[in-house]
Formats: sequence, C-alpha cells, structure tokens
Amino acid sequence: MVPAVIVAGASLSPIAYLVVQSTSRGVRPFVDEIIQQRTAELLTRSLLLCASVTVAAVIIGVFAAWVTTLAGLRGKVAWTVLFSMPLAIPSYISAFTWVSWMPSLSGFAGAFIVLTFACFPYVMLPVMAVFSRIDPSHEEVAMSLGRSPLITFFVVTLPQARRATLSGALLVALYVLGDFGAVAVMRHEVFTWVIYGAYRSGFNPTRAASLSLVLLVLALALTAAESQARGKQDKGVSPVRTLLRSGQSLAKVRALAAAVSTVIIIPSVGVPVISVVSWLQRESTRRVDTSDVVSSAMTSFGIGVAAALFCLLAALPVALMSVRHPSRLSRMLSAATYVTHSLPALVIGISVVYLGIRAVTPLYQELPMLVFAHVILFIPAMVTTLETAIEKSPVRLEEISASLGSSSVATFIRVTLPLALPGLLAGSALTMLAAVKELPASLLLLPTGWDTLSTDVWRFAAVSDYAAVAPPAITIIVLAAVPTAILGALSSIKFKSDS
Amino acid sequence: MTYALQVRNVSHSFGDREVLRDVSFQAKTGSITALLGPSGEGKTTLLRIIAGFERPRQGVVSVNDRVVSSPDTFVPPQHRGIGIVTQEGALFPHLTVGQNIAFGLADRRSANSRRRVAEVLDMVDLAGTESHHPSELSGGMQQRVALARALAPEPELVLLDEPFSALDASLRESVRDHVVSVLRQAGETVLWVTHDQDEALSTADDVAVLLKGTIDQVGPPLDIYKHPTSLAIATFVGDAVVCDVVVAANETEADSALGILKLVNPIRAGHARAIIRPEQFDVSEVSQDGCHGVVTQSRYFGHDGLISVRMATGEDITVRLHARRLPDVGASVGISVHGPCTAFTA
Repeated sequence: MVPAVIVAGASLSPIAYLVVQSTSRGVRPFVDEIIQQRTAELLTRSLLLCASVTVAAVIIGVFAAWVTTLAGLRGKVAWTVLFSMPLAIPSYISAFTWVSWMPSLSGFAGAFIVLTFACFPYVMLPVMAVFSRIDPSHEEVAMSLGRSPLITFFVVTLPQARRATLSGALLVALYVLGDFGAVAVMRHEVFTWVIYGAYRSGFNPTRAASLSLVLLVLALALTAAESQARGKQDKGVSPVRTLLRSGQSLAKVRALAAAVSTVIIIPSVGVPVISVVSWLQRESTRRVDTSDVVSSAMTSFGIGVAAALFCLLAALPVALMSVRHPSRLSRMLSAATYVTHSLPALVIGISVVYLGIRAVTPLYQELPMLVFAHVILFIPAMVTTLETAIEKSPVRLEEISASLGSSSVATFIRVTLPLALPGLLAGSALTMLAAVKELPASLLLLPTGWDTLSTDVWRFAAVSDYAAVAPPAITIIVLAAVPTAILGALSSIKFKSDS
Repeated sequence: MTYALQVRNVSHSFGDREVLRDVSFQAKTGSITALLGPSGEGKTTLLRIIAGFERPRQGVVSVNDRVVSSPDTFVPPQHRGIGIVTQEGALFPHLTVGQNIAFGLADRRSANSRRRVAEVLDMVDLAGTESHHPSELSGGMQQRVALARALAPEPELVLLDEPFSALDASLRESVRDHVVSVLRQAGETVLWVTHDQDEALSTADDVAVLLKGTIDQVGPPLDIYKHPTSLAIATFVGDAVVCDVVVAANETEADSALGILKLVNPIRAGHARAIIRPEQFDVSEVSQDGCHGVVTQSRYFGHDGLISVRMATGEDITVRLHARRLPDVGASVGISVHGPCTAFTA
C-alpha cells in the first residue's frame, strides 16, 4: 500500500512542478501568457493538424483493417505485419527520410504526410479486432435484401466497428498532439515545437511551462474521451470466437485492394526504409566512427535497462494493489499513474527539468533525472502489462497454494511470479525499447557530453549529415521492427485461429 | 464417536448481505459428509471459511479439536492442514503433474517426497504421469491429479467444492465413483459441497442441508429423505407432492384429497401440509370409492417413468411408476397412497 502511494505521488510530482513554475510570478502573468493572439493561432494550427491527420488516418486505417480481415486477400499475416511497421519507425526518423528525399517538404504538408502514415495502425489494429469477429450473417441478410456489397459494408459492417474506430481515432489525435519529432523536423509551429523553442531560447521559462499546461489539459480531455469510447464494447460483435467466412470476394476487388495497399505501404514503410538504407552510401562530412555509434548504443541501452528496471519496481506495487486488493484507493492510484500515459514526452521532459531545478538540485542535468522522466513516461504501459500478467494467476491458485502450506511470500515466489513472468519480461523489453526510441525528453535531460542513438539521429540529421544518421537510425528501426512484426503477426494469427 | 470437523454458530455477511446465519454441524472422522444446497445460498462461503480463505464474522471452527477460527483465534490456511479440490481443479499450469503433487510436501526433492508422489498418483490410477503438464490431461484426469495433490501432505480434512460439476455428464459418474473409493480407502474425512441431490444421497454417509444460509438438518441420506424436519427440506431433497390435509383428533391420521393418509409422526390436530413421495402413489383401475384423475403428461426414463395426473379435485400430482405400467396420456386412473407420510403444521 505505502509503496503504491509513493509511486503514484512521484509520477504526478512533475505536473505539480509545472503548475508551480507557470504561476511562479503569480496567476496574472500566467493568464496574460495564455490569453494572447498568438496562443489562439497556435491552438488553431495544432487542432487543424490534429483533425486532418485523424481523418486521413481513419480512412487509411479502416481500409487496412478491411484488407487484412474481410477482403479475402492471400497472405493476411504478411499484409498485417507490413501495415503495422510504421509503429516501429519513430516519427523523427521518418520525417528526416522525407526531408532528405524531398528537401522542399515542410510545414503543414510535411507534418500531415509523416504523421498520417505513422498513425494509421492505431486505427487499423482495434478495427481489425472487430472486423474479424463480426457475424457474417448480418452482411448476408443485407445482400439478400438487395444491397450491393459496397453499400452493405458502409451500412452494416462499418457501423458495428464504430466504437473501435472512435477509440483508434482518439489515440491518433493524442499521438499527433504530443508528437515532437515530425513537427520539429518539418518546422511546423504547433504546441510541442513552440514549447521546445520557448524552452531552448531560455528567455521565457514561464511561457514554456504555461503552454505545456494548456497542452496537458487538451491531452487529458482526449484521454477522458478515449477511455469513454474504449469502455464500451461494439454491439453485435461475438466476443468469443471468429466466425468462418466462406465467401471469396471478386478477383477484381482483390486486385484493387492489393494495388491500393501497395500505394499505402510505399510512403509509410518504403520511403523511410529505403532512404535510411540509401544514406549508408552517402559521403559524410566527417568520418563515421564505429566506436562512437557503439558508445551511443551502450548509453541508450544503459538508460533503457535502468528505465525498464525502475519502471518494473515502481509498477509492481501499483499493479498488485489494483488486481489483488481492488478498492477505491487502489483504483485511484492506478489511475494516477495512468494519467501520464496521455502526456506528451516533451511536457514530461520539461516538468522534470523544473523538478530538477527546484527540488533536487544536486541531480539537475544528471542521468538519474532522464531515467526518472522515462519511468514516468512508461509506467502506465508497464502497470497495464503487469495487471494483465498478474491476472494470469487466479486468486484460486494462490488459495490452493496456501492450503498446501505455503506462506504468502512463498506463494508469491512459487505461484504468482512464475505465472506473471512472461508478461513481466515482455513489458520490461518493450519499456527498454521505448526508452531507446524516445527523443524529446532525452534532448532536454541528457547531460552534456553524453549521446544516445536517438540524440545522434537528431544531431546529425539537423545538419543533413545523413551518412552519420544511418547507423543509429537503422539500429533503432531494426530493434523496434522485431516486436512490432511479432505483434502484427500475432494479432493476425490470433483472429484466424479462433475460428 | 470423534468429529474431525466442528462448526459452531458461524455467521458471515458480505457488506449488508447475510450469507450464513448461525450455522452449526459436525463431520465424523473418516466419513464423507455432503453439504447440499441450492446454488448461491452460502455453501462455498462456508467451505472457504473452513479452509481459512475467509474469516467469519462470528462462530467457531475446530479441526480435530483444535480451534482454527474463532473471534480471538485465526489460523491462516497454510497452517490448517486442510486439503481442497475445487470445481475446475486449479492445477498450477506452470508445474508438471509431479511438481503439482509435491507442492505441499516438506522436502520436495527428497526420495521420500518422490515416493509419496508416486504413491498418491497410483491411488488415483495415474501412475507414471509425473512429467506430464496439466494441459496434456483430460478434465477427469486433472481432477484426479488435484485430488492427489490435496491428499499428498496427509491433510486432517479434505474439502471438495463441486469437484465434478465441470465434467461432462458421461464422465462425471465414473470419476466420482473412482474418487469416492480412493477417499474411502484412504480413510479421509471429507466435506463435499454439491447442489446435486442424487450425488449427495447416493455417495455421502451424512448429508447436511444448507438452505437460506443455515443448516437445519444433518443426518444419513435415508433419514433426510424419509424424515425431513421442515417442509423446505422435504421439497428440496427429492421430488414431493405437497397437499393440504386436516389432521384428525388422534393426531396420527389426516384427511386429504387423496383419502386418509397415515402420518409418520403424530402432529397437532387441525390444518397441516403433508408430503407424499412419487413412489408412494399407486395407480389402479378407477373405482367408485377411491380417488381418481386424468393423466396429463407421461415421461419415460427407461427403467421407470413419471406421470402427471390432474385429480378430480383439481390438484396436480406426480407419480413414479415402473416402465411397464405407464398409462397413456388422457387415461382415467385411480390413485391410492401407500405407506405413512410426513406432515407439517401449516
């Protein structure tokens, strides 16, 4: 209980410092900072990007979900893996690949293209889950009543996935709002990029903190909407098994589906991967030193391992409390850690900086602060993973263990832990990976003189030294591609084998 | 007579809802006691209290004269020495059959422990399956492993929580008979929770009937069936026709729509309700002085059958008959009752 309270408090502490920092000169300057013509313009620009990327990602995401489930194409697993791949490519890397290929691309157009092709899997995955469980008899009835297959899809099939689509759309909106990499590379003046600028310029820390607070409120509103949408199951969807579909779609439809899918995969996977590989052939202004790449990689892994380890230790008491002793308090603690899941990494980074300046000065600009920021960023995912893992071990088994003479500590070691171990290891590996990919918090908190894979990409790409970008970028993509491919393949196979 | 399990005045509630009310009963050492009751009326809660997974609000539980739960003592489950087999078996999925069974043994890697595992596996007819994983076993085999695991540490008491209800009907009877013979051979004291009357009546030495959170009657199956202490128990255990009667002044006979009924126990003269078991009815040709009715439904079970008869007086009764003698639907039949009935003052 006590550890869980400490963890929840610690993960909310940076936000408290954000509030303190933005109102440090009183409430009046804070309000003045917010109520400005340029803030309104900033808000409009951010929301416009958010809305247009969300609409485009929903269209592509629903199409991709249809291709990988209902279209009757061969090689569903391969298509699913390819469509999932954008999840493995950090937005700053794909943005740099576009810029290196089309140097004129920037602003809204650039950010829109990069983010749309990076985000559509967030819609595809939940919609796929619904499509693969839809009862085909509804569609058959609609067609027997004289509707064409196309109309049937829009009036019968798609409405059943309404909630899944909405939930995916809100995830995309949240991602776009918090994304730093793509808008920074495209120099599109939305919240994150302006906040970073205000912070870096150093003149106006109150403005950076105040805008962070506005962004935070927007993100929290989206999260609330998202959890509302996610809580409810789509109607008419069989919760248990996949229903067998006998009908094959027309050859013409299949050919068209394959062609459009290829057109989607070229910009979302093809451009980044081919560009990054082609960078290897470029001339570098400086000699690419293998030992530099290795040392950055070691730093990245070191930070990643530390982040995963502390994240695990911090998430464990929270997850145990919420699964084993459900109460109003334990739910509140779990929710407190979950709040940070919606917060842009940049906002967390900045608030940890203020925390460092004001509360733990000896650690300011030291590695522990970066690890702390990563723990706060990734603890929500870790808590969710651990909760699922701990639920794997039913209370019934722990009771049996007690009836056979094991104390509660012995039961935890002999029953709960071994059963939760796979989820626990997977959660730690994914946290480590997320820490390696993470950019904005690393840019803000990495001590001078240190480099990681992600800051190397940022530093060299900013000066168009793409030959130096290639090794760290490829390392990151390859590392992230492995779990993403497994996730894509598993979700495709899982839906298939249920039938 | 010694009692391995004694439960005295146990009450328990979840929030405002009282699930157990002043429950008292005992289980004889070396006997099988069935805890029979409808679903959702506190059977499993009582079992969990005995095992130590719940602490009762009131009352005392003792195992072999050691108090394990009372207002001022609470022995945690790991120190009670009570084995438990649940509905779904609950084998540890990450351990092999052998490791599951050895789980409760003191020195799991010793030769003694290996010998004990082999011994209990042999008892449940699964010798040599030590290295199998639970997922490789059928449902019936998993239940037998769960039993072996509960028996391995030589518990003072074995609790069975509806252990066969998750099995297919075809498998249930054979697994149950096997388990019962294992438990009897081992001389275990068993408390067996079930909602299946046939199971309780045919296998247990004693039946404790738990209705609406309390136990009103404990006794051998035949006693419960023949001499129920309340109308609720009479109608819950076995089929029964309940009819309104008027008890005569001699307190041993009662007048009913089915003629004069003899009573098992004398009760106060006046209005009462009597229960008649389906096998007490006899069907004959319609006669002038007897009661009669029309057959409205006939159900055939192979060895015997049940017919529903609408009496001339308007009551519906159920009659158990030998299959050879089932009358057709629509036939008029004479009905008589043989043997004494139990009646309860209305």
